[in-house]
Order: sequence, then structure tokens, then C-alpha cells
Amino acid sequence: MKLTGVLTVVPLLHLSASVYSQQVTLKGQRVKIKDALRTVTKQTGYGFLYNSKMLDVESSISVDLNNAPLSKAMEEILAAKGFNYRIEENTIVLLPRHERIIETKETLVQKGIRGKVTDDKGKPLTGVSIVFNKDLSFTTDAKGEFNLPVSVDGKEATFSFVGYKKHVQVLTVKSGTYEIKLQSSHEQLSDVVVTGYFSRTKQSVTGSQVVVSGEDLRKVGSLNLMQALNAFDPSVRMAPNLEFGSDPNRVPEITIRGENGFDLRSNADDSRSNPNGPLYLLDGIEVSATRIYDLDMNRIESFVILRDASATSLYGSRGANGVILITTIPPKEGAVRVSFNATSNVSVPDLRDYNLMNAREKLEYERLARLYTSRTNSREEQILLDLKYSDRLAEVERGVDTYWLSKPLTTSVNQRYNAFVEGGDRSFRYGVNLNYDKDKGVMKESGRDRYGINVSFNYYPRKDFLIRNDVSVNNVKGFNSPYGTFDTYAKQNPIDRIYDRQTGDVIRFYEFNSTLNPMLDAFLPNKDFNRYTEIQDNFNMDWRINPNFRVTGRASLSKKLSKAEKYISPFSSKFDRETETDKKGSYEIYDQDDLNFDGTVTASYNKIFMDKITTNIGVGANAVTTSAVGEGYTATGFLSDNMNFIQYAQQFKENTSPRGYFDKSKMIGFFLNANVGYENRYFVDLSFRTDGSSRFGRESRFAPFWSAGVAWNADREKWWNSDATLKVRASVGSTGSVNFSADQALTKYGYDPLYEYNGYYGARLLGYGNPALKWQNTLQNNIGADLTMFKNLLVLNIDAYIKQTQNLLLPIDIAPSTGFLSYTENLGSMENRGMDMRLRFNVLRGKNPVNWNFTLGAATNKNKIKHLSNALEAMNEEAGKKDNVTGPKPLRTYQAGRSQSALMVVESLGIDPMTGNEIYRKLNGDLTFDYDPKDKIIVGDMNPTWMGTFQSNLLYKGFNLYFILAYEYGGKIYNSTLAQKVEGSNPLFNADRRVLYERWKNPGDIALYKRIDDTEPPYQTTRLVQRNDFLRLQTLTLTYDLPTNVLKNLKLERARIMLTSNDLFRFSTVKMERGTIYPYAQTFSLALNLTF
Amino acid sequence: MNKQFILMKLKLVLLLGALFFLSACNKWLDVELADKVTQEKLFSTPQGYQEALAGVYSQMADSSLYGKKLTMEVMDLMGDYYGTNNVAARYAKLRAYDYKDAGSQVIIAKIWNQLYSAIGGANNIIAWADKDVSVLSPDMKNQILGEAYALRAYLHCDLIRMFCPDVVASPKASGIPYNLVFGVSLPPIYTVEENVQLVIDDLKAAEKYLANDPITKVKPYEMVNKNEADKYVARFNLYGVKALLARVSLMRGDKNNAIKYAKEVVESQRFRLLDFASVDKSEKEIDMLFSDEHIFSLRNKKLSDFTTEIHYSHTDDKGTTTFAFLPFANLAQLYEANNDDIRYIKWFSTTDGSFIKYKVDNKDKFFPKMPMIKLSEMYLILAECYLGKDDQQAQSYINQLRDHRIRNNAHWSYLTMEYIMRESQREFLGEGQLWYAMKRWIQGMPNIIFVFPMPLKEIETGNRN
Repeated sequence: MKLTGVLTVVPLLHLSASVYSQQVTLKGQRVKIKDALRTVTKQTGYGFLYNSKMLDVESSISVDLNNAPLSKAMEEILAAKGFNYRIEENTIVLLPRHERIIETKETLVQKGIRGKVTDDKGKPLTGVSIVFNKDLSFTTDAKGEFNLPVSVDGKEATFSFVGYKKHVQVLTVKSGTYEIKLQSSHEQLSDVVVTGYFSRTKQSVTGSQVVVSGEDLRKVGSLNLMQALNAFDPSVRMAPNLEFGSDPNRVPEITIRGENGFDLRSNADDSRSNPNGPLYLLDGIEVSATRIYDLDMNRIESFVILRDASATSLYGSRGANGVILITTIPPKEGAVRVSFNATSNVSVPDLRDYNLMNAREKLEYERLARLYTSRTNSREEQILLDLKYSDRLAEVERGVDTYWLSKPLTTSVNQRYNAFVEGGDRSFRYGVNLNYDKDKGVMKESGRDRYGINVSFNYYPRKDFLIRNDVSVNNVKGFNSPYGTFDTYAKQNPIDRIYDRQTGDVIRFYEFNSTLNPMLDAFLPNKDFNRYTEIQDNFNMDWRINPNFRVTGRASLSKKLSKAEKYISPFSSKFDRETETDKKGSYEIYDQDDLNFDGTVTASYNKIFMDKITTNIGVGANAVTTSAVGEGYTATGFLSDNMNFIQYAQQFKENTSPRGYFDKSKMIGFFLNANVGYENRYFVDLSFRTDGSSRFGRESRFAPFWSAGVAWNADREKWWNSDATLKVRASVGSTGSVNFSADQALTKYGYDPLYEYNGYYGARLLGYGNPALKWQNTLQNNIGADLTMFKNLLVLNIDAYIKQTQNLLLPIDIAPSTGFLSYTENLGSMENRGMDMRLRFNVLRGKNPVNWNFTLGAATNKNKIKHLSNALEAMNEEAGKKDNVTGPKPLRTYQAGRSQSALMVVESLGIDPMTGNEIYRKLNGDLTFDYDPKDKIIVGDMNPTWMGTFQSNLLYKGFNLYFILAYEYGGKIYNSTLAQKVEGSNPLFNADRRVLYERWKNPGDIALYKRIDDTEPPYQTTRLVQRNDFLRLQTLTLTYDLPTNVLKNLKLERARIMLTSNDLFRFSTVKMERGTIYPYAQTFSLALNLTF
Repeated sequence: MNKQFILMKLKLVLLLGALFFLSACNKWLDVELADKVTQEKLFSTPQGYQEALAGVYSQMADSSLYGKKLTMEVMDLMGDYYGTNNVAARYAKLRAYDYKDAGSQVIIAKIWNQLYSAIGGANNIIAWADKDVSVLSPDMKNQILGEAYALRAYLHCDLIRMFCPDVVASPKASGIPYNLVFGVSLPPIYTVEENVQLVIDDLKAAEKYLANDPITKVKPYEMVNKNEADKYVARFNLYGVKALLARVSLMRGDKNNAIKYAKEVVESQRFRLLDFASVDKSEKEIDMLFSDEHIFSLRNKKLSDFTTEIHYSHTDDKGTTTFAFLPFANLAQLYEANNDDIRYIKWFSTTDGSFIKYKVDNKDKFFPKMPMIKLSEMYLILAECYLGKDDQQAQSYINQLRDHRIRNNAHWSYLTMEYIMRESQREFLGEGQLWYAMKRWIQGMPNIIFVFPMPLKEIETGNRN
């Protein structure tokens, strides 16, 4: 919202009025008020002062004045607009008619209550309403001053002005002259908070939520919305991602306030969607996490994070994991305005966590690992091994030291552009948004291209009726690097050359460790990409039947076409052993087609009773249908890379048949919300929603969700006499989550095309569908407080919660004699307790040229499993299997009473100096060399006990320096680099330097890591568990806004230059390789925003 | 006041509207999935019932059950067809009747799970056919119910034969769960005697339902088109029920009933013993499996793949060649090197001796099938039951059978149990019936050979002790 320009002063002419005539001549059918006033100024010399928000000067009138007196002219011009006027010296002040005009020359005035209203920068505000009750209101004059009759002595006045926060104060005669400052509501976005379906005043909100403007969001300078969320709400956590680093095709996973359900996905690559992810609503329509990831951040007007039941219960079955509401920028009225954003960023691979051996060190490691010592003590063999060693040594002496890590990497330069054109008048506004974003990533030839268009219009056929339509088309294409995964390069030996010494050809095969050169495939025209095109139309209607009653309708239809293709050349090393040409080369295609509909109707009613009781009641219904159809196949048999189109395939891949995917679901919900307030001090908020879903059993298809909240604005109490404000909130309620497949409640049959039986395909049972399956249900309790003190110097928001998730869907193992091995039952329960807070110091504010604030955000969460099923206990057994206890990552083990992210390993006493083997402690305290998974103990939690951010914002003139430090404290991690690259490393491949320097070599060595010639992967023990505390500079941003006078010369409305760097540094207690499959990157970006 | 009243009314209307809506929504919320079908939809047409039945048959035909495991693989291994030498290492433990071995336990557990899973399929058909009268005509309903009951009995019967001690020797011993209800409630365990009785109850019910089975009106063996004949015999028909009743009666030592049911089958004239002419044909036309004798069989187009997997040496992707996992042993001794015995010279290749019973390319005429109960078993049952009671009769039945197996057969004028056992051994090769018969014959053998232990998962999750 632009605040400057609210007051428009038509140029004053400081000339005596007598020079001009007092007569006005003006004629016309469709004269704009603006032009009419200009004419009056020309003819009479009077300037005008008015609030452009209230008086629409673009609207037209018809006038017929011929030498009419000024008073008559003004009456005629303002007649239809409901405005009065007052002449003060050379200026005519225009005011809404219902506000009584204070006659300055009134005798009583001298004794009245006087004061001045200004904005926070001290600029006088004209036309501010001073309301005592419905029948008694006043406004400030051109100088922002007021002079009220003594009859209002001791009464409470409400000062209000569009774009500013309301100010309530008791006025007395004795107090002398008032200096009243109205706070711009810009900072708080607005007094009105959209809770999704209904709008509520900020005071009446009882739930825990965070509201962020798009402006603040863009300051974080992150590449997507998800990365920025933790800057505004410390309880938002992005799942740690050691494997996929900064892969542009990897959608990050976030959770709000801990994990409410079991995450039973077996590995990071599991494509199932995050069961604990929040619900995303873009302009009120549910969208996928991918859509948010690909959303152009320049389109975001604001977003809200809803955390507790009172805030989320209107989303019923989908609200348990938190809700993120995102609103896009609506077009504003006025002449055509163009905003243009250009960002150019540089991504640099971040390899600081890698500490690999060079060629000489590697050779020494090979020698120490006894690669060149005959194990059979045979002399012939020893001679051969000695020769092999000297060959390799010669290579090292020749200076071969291949730095494999850099081979698949590149520093990428990326471009992002966004243009927004908007304009229109009161009744019709339009906006067109174009965006283009090419994000190339740091692995060569990987990347994600996004481009899209959005066209929207707002149309008011009548003043009380709005039609809005919004069409977007987005196209996203993600490429995976042909270089394969990064860990292959991290493993390559630095002693190995890429190109042959003599011929200069790429070496195909390394005999030393019988592996293929990973670079081979990189030179082939392999393709691996997935893309989607999404077309969405949102249609909104908003009818304000009367000031109290409002009906809205919203419908959205979206269609998404996705395609994934993967071509592997017949010359790929993958087919080296394949002899038949019709099996060489492969082409995999998968297409999917999604169609979603989302419709909502709401009606709301609000009224103030007896001037004290505010009521807001809303009801609504919401229906969502989704359907997805996919098909795919793999073909083989390509003879040449020139014919890498699917039609040249010779056959379907052997023993495969076309794949298919089908999913369809429907959901319908009815909801009701009532918010009642008393004197703006006490508020009660009740919500109810019932949801029905096709995913649930017939016996419990509908489930109720509810919430009750109270809020107390303590600063509104009579006895409260300080400038501090305090609001206390509490809420309780239940919400649900449905992040699982449709199969569990229905007993279904599938056809097996292999067995035709006497003319019938056999329909086989696909498992038992539990018809009694209920919704997962999370009971949430929240208490919170919002406090500002010392004239806004300190702002504190604090919330504490207990969330109990019940009826968690879990597989339960049953006796096979029932005919089934397991089925799904509402069995599990889990608890999350935690706290989140934000403390903000506005250290330097106001008129100072320097403006400085800093914010500390902190969140803590504790998870506890209350009840689980026998099937999960079977998973614990799985976690104890040898492959799993020697792997790089301990699997989750589940036990009631513990956190689901508890880290369980066997206790270790370190390395025996005599043997170089590890000593374990059994549960009974005995020491042993034999590992037993039953001896596992809890060593901590994989999730941090505290996490959050520290931010600072420093403004000086047009400059703004902003940084965010993010931290996590108290989590534990099993160091996978130590487990794989220091111990468990294969001497045939490269590994971490610590292999050479810190492993046990001779009896008596006190070493951290076991015998250097032991190549077995180590068992997971406490020895390799480390604290996972870190502090990173998430964002460092410097922005500069061009000053107004420069802008005027350039004919610009706004210009801003922004320099950002992400992840500039990171201090961590763990020395571990991060981004193993795709490396991390640091980004530096330069952005330019222009509005003209 | 009036305004508020209107508001109240409005709210009431909205609420009532919502309530009405809720019930309408319930219907709206039923979605149909293209790749799967809900049971409600499946059982809304007669075809659906047929498909569900076909589902149980196809499940039984799978390699994990009668396609391979319960016939030519595990059961014939236990029935000692493969001797002790040359059996691949992966079968060594099972061959040694070491059921405690982890590998054996996996195999046994899988058999248990699959059989009960198929029973679940049959139970759901029974549940739906019982409650639904409008979809199926009375005739169809009887047919469906009859087949489903018979399948439930057949599957339980084999579970009893595998997991229970011999019913005659230890009738009161704890048996297996008999699952009569579709769902996830735990079926109770019965004694062996009760288990067998439950099988008989189910079969008697099936017999009633199938009284008007279409097979009573035709003679399948007269049909030239064998696919047409399969419509009567490649599913549970009335005579399949009777034959199974004969099998179960003999199992529990009720020879009178065994004779009664076996005779009913033999005298029904619906099946006939092998006609030599039908095997004296080229590979394309040979009736290798003696299809005119099939009372109940399972069509299975993958049989030749299954037999290849275990009976033939084969080469894997990496080019490594492995020998046949399960080579037959002592064939000449078994068939007394009798080149007139059709089984000896037709089921095995005359050129290289390989097992070709399930691997001839005759599918244009004969769809590959796994026999589940054959007419020959009825003759063997009759011989066994009459032996010691009316030896003349016993000899007559076994000679009739041998007349259709051995060219220029010289009749036996002397018969002992040993002879019958030998004949059965020759007859059941590749069909998985011998181990069960041995269990009956060799009374007093330790249970550890003839009783599979109940799978651990069943004991743990079902609280079975």
C-alpha cells in the first residue's frame, strides 16, 4: 500500500485571491473531478486539500456552471460525492459530509481540547476522524490540528485514518495540547488479518499466527519461499538434507512445530510426500509443495503461517501440520504502472566440507591398507604387487593428481526476471505478471527453468460487488545432470588420469578398482528431465449485501501436465556387457495428467451491538476434487544417438509392461466460525468444521473438527496506563491430517492380466480395507502472548503448545490365518510439546537517520511416542539387521515413551590401543568386541532442542543492511562421513584425509578410528555420534533505495538495488561431507527493482 | 428483533441444508478408481462374482501355490521324487526335513500365508453371495456359493495335510485355524478331528449347492474343443466335491464313505480313463496330462516356465549356467524300466530323459493345466479301501487303472498295500500328492517329517501356543 500520495495537494498558488474572480465557469457531461478541481484552481486561485483515498478524483460528474459563485460551484461538484468543503486562506479543504466541520472561529473553541495529529514521521494528517460515538465525530483540519468542544471532556476518542492504525485515547481539557501520532499500519501489514476464509481484525485473533508482508519476505533474498520461512517463524524447520544439497530439482521439506505423525518413509529418496508437511493455500486454493517451490516470490503480497488449532481448525482435516496462506499481489488502480525485477545470481559450489586425500596421500593409504602386501606371503605375488606400487608411484611423481570433485561442477550464473503491469480505475483493474527464471545449479547441465504468465482482473460491476479472475500458466522443466551423482566423483582416485597419457582418449575403465570412468556418460547425449505445465484459473465473487453481510464464492480449476523422460545412450557404459543390440540404450517416459477443482462459498455477518459487543460470524462450504492419471513405459534398442527419439526404439524393455497410475479423491467440508468481542478487550472465537473424504471408510466418512480460543487485550483495560500493549491468547482444538493413500479404508480388488480364467480375468484381493478407519486427529493446546513495551522498543511474541496426535494410521501386523498379513488401524498416538518465541528490539527508531532493529527467534520441540503398533516394532527389528547397523545413517527405531527421532546406537569405549578394534559396552555393562544391536542406547535426538534465527536490520538513508543468522542447538547426528569415508572406506577408492592421519596403525596407538587395514564398515556406535550444533549466515543483504529527487528525474516511482549472499559461512560442531549426491552452493545475487 | 429472528431462521435453514447435504455428499464421496475396483462395485454384477472366483483360482495357480510350490517343487521334494543327491543346495535343508532352518521357515510361512489369503478371497465371495440376493439368479448363486465353499474346503484340507499330525493317529491334537469369516478377526484353532469335520461340512454344503452343476448335463471328455471342456472341469464342480470328499474320508479312515464318494465319481460317466490314442500323437496334439481324467484342474499358462526354473539347466543374465535344481532320481526303478508305461515314456523325453510333462508345446489343443484331483486317484482310493475287505474288487480297480497306463497290461492277481503305494508313486509324479499319501501310509513315523511347524508370525501375532 502506498502511503505517500494519500494526501494530494493540488499546487497552491500563493497569490492573492482578489487577482482571481470568485466566479467559476465549467461545463461538461463527463468531467473528471480532478479536472473540475483543476479548473476551479485556475479560475479562482484556490488550492485543494483532500484525502485521495476517500475522494475518488478519477470519477466523473456532469456540471453546468456559468459564472456561478464559488460556493455554488463547489456544491455542484461535490454534490454526488457526499463531501463538504471549507475555505481556509487560499485552500479549500474537502471533507466527507458526515464528519462535522469544526468552525475555527467558534467562540467555545478557545477553551476546547486542542491537539495535532501527525504520522510517525511528524507530518500532519488532514481529515483524520475523531470518533466518540456514532453521532459524534470530528475531523482534523489542513494542518492536522483539532479543536474539540469541552463537552467531550473525559471521553474516549478513537482516531482513525486510512492506512494508519487506530488510536484510542481519553481526552481531557486539562492535559493541554495533544500530540497524537498515528502509526502507519504498513508495518503490521494491516489491521485486518485474513484467516483464510474470513477477515478478522488483528485484535480479535485468538490463534497463533505469523503475518509477513511480501516486502519483508523479499528482503531475505532466498531463492524460494520455503527457504525463507524460518526467518519469520522459528518453529518452521527445513528437514536436514545431507544428500541432495542445493539440487534445484529437489523440493525442500518443511515441518511446523515438530512431526505430528510417523514418518515411515524408508529413505530420503522415497517419493511419497512428506506426511508432516503443512497445507499450502495460494489465494485460498490448496496447492502442492512443488507449486510453492516454483512460485515467483515477486508475486507474493503477503503470507500467513497458522500454527495452532484456533488458527487452523477451519481447515479441518488438513490443518494438523500447520497452514501457510499465501496471497498474491492484486492489481492496484491508477495509470499504467510497470514494475520490473531483475535478479542475477552466481552459484558457487561449496566444497568446504570435503577433505579428500591428494594423490600422494592416497598412495600412502593404499600402502598402509596393505594393498601392496601379499596376503598369501607368496614371493611371486609380492613382486607383482611391488611393480604395481612403483607404477602408481611413478604416476604420482609425474604429478598426476586429478581433482575429481571439480569435474562435474561449475559456477553457474542465473537470471530471473519478473515484470508486472497493472492499472485501471475504481471499477476495473488489471494486472499482468510475467516471469522467467533460469536456475542452473552447480552440477553441470542440471537446472530448473521456470516461466509463466498470470493475468488477473478485478471488476466492480456495482460498488458492493466484486468479480475477480486470475489465470496463470506456469511451465517448469527440471534437468538432472548427465554427470550422475556427485559421490562417484568424491570416490575417484586422484592417482587416476581422466585421459589416456598416450592417446589422449577418455579412459573407459580403471583396472585398479575395476570401475568405469564416470565422465564417460557425461559426454553422451543422455537426457534426464521432468517438466510440467500447469494452467490454473481462480474465479472469485464478493458481494457485500450490506455493511454487515457479505457473501463470497470462489472456484478454481487447475490442470497439470507432467512428463518425465530419461534417455540413456546405447554407448553408455551401462550397456557395456549387453551383446544384443535391441537391448542397448533405453528410453523411459512417464506422463501424468492432474485435474483439480476447489470451490468455496462463504457467508459472513458482522455487527457491533450496544457499541461494545463485536460479532463476526461466518459459515461456508468447501469442496475439493482431485484426479491423477499417469502412464509410462521403457523402451530399449537404440542404434545411434542421432536416433534418440522414442520412435526409433526397437522394443519395450524386456520383462516390463506399461506402467499406470490412477488416483482420484473427493473432499467436502462445512465450516462455521464465530468471533465475539467485548469492548475490544475480551474475545472468544469458536470454529467448527466437518469434513468428508472419499479416502475414508464408509463407517466414518465425516469427522468433526473444532476449536475454541480466547484473547484478552490487557492494554485495553481501564487500569492499564502505560504505552505498553499486551495481548494474551489461549486456544484448544482438534485438527486432522490426511497425507496418505486412498487404499486403506476400502477393500479393493485388482486384476492380474497374467491369469485369465475361463474367459474371466481373476480379480484378486488387494488387502483388507478397514471400513472403520478414522481421521488422524491432533488435539492442540496453545497459550501465547504478544507484548510491546517502551514505546515499541521491545516486541515479544511467545507461544507454548502441546499437540497430541491420536488415531495415527499405522499398519498393524495380524495373524496370516486371517488371510491378511497386515491392515491399517488408528492405533498410534504421539505428543509434541514446545515453545516458540520472537523477541524484537527496535533499538533506533523514528526521526533518526539511522534505524536499527534486531530480532531473536527461538523454538523448541519435544516429541514423544505414546502408542504404536506391532508392525513398527517389526521395523525396529529391521533396523537391527547387519546392513542397517553398518550403514551411514541409523534407521529410526520406535518405542513408546521415546521421541521418534531418538538416535539409538550401541555404546562404544573407543578403539583398543592394542588391537585397533572397537570395544562395545553391553546393556549389562560388560565390555565386548562383539557388536549386538540389542545393546543400543539412546544417545540423543536427531532433532535439535533449540533452533531459530538472529536477525538484524539497519537502515540509514536509503541503505538497508540485513542479515539472518540461523542456528540449531542440541541435536545429535551420526557422522556418515566418518562411517563411510574415514572408517569403512575401501582403499581402492579415495576417502577423507583422516583415514591416513587418524586411524590406528600400530599397537599402542591411541587412535580415534579403527585399524587402517580394516575395510569393514563400522557398526553404528556412540563413537561416531556428534553434536550437531551449527550457526550459519543464512542471508546477508544490502539494499539501496534511490532517493525521491533522483527518481523524479528518472521518471521512476521506485528503484531499488539489492545485493544478497546466501550461506556465506557456516560454523558446525560436525566435520562431515554435506551434499553427497548433489553439492551445496553459495549464492550471490544482484537484484534490481524498478517501478514506473 | 425481527432481524435476529430472520437470522436465526437463516441459520437453521443453513444447518438443515447442511445436514441434508451431508447425506447427499456421502454418495458423492464414493469414487471409482480406474486401476482397481472396490468390492462393492465388483460384487454388483454376476460377472464380478465370476471374476472374484477366477481370482481365487488364479491365486492358486500361482507359482507360490499349486503352480509350482505345492506340486512339482516343495511337495514333490518332500515326496522324495528327487532323491538325495544332485538336489541344489538351496533345497538341501528342506530335503532333509529340517523345518527349523530359517530358509525352510520362509518357504513354509509363505505357503501358509498364501493359502489363507486365497481362503480370504473365497470367504469374501461367500459373504457377498449370502447377503446379496438381487444380483445373482438363484442358480448362479448356488453355483458361486458351491465353488467358494469347495475352494475353502480344498485349501483348508491341504493346510491340514501339511500342518497337522495325521488325523487317525492323533485326532485330538491341536490343529490349525479354520477361517470361516472374511475380515481381520482371528480365526480359532480347532483340533485335527474338528478341522477335518469342518472340511467335510463345507464340502457337504458345496455338494448341495452344486446339485445342478452344469457338468451333470454334459460329458466334458466328449468335447472336441478342450477349452470348452475346461469350463466344466477347470473349476470346482460337483464331482470335484465328491472326489475331495472321497480323499478326505480316506484320510480320516472312513473307508465306507471314501468308497461311496469315489464310486459316485467313477460311475458318473463324466470322466474317462486315458485313451492311448490321445497320447500317441505328435507333440502338438498330445494329451500329456490325461485331461479326460481331470475332475478338477487349474489352467496355468506359466507351467512350462515353472518347470524350466527347477527342472532344466538354464543360463542367467550374466551368462552363468546352472544345472537343474531338482533332477528326478531313480526313474527306471520307479517305473520298473517298463517302456510300455505311458507315464515313463511320455512324461520324460526319450532323447535326453528330461521332464517334459509340463513342457510340451501342445497349447493350441490343450491349455496347460495343473491337475488337482484326477479320476485315477479315485481308482487308487477304491483299491486302497477295498484291500483287505474285498481284495477282488481292489484288484479289479487297480487293474482297470493300469490298463489305461500300460500297454498290454498284464493284470495283477495279487495285491498288497505296497503295490498300491508304488502305483500311486508312479501316478502322482509332478502333482504333489505323494507326501500326503505317505503321511497316511507310514503311520507311526515321527511327526517332524510330516508336520510343518506353524509359522512364527502366526504364533506371535495370533498368540498361538
